[in-house]
Amino acid sequence: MKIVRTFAKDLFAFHFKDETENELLKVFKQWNDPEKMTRFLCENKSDWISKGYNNLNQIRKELEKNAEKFEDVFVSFSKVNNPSWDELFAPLYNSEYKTITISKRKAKYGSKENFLRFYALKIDANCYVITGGAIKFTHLMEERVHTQKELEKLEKCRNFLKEKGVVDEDSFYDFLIEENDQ
Amino acid sequence: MTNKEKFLALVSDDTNNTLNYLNERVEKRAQLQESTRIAWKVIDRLEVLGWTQKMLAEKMNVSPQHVNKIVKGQENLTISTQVKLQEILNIPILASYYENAIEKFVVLLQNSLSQKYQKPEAKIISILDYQQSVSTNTHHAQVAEPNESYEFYDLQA
Repeated sequence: MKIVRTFAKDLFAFHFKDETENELLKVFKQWNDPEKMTRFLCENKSDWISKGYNNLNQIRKELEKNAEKFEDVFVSFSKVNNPSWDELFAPLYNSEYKTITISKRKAKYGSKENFLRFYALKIDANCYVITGGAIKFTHLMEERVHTQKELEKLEKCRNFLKEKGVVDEDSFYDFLIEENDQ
Repeated sequence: MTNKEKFLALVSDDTNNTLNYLNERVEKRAQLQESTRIAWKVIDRLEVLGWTQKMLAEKMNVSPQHVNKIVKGQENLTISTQVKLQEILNIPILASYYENAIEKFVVLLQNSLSQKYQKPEAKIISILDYQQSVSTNTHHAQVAEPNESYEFYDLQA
């Protein structure tokens, strides 16, 4: 497991062993893979039907729009000097109101019709490491195996960072300042 | 070693791959959407027919990797490939699918009406002529041909 710098300032991504891509790129490629998406939607049919979608093409088009929104956001953020990741990533748990070191975060974009999520760890103000992403139809991540797996990845990555000594927010912040100066 | 140094040691660069991918997605969005829609049609049709991608590849006389690229929406499909998919899977990909279907329908309709009203042998008229004649005449339409004229009745007549 390693962490890679992405194209955008202050945004990093995990790159897991045996994976060909970092998590940001991997998730985008999954969302844009008609075969994988169709298989997933067929396996989770009752989830999207319960959201009011009547056929496969309807939900496929909705998810396509969702992914395009994310593409636009990331591309637009790549063009600005100080992208506001804090606006994109919200606490994973709505009840999180105090500052937590290496807090678990989620990114969703647009209306509540957006079923796509990126998951990340907040290292410091406006600095994030992406751990993965998922299609989320259910209220709780624990309700489905694929979202439960993302929860576990978040925890595993958080522990990894702690083990590597990056729990110290201040020292990490020093690194970010230097990185910004480059 | 400070925490900063540890972190720098962990971090490696991937500044281009993801951005190139995303930029391409945005720049070629319309084209990629078309490729994706074709992929959906192929995936759905294979499911209905109970075919594997390998079987389709054999029928198309292409490699399985080629078919896999199609269902991944990654292939910039040539007209030749689109025609093969359309004919082998009988799915609408090119506009000709609908144009041919309309043309066949018009001929069938002509034949049917000619028989019903014992009119002279039906001749193929252009779709536009036919559509124009039907849309401008409520109960029956006149379709003029050189030196001849045939009456066509709409279905409600």
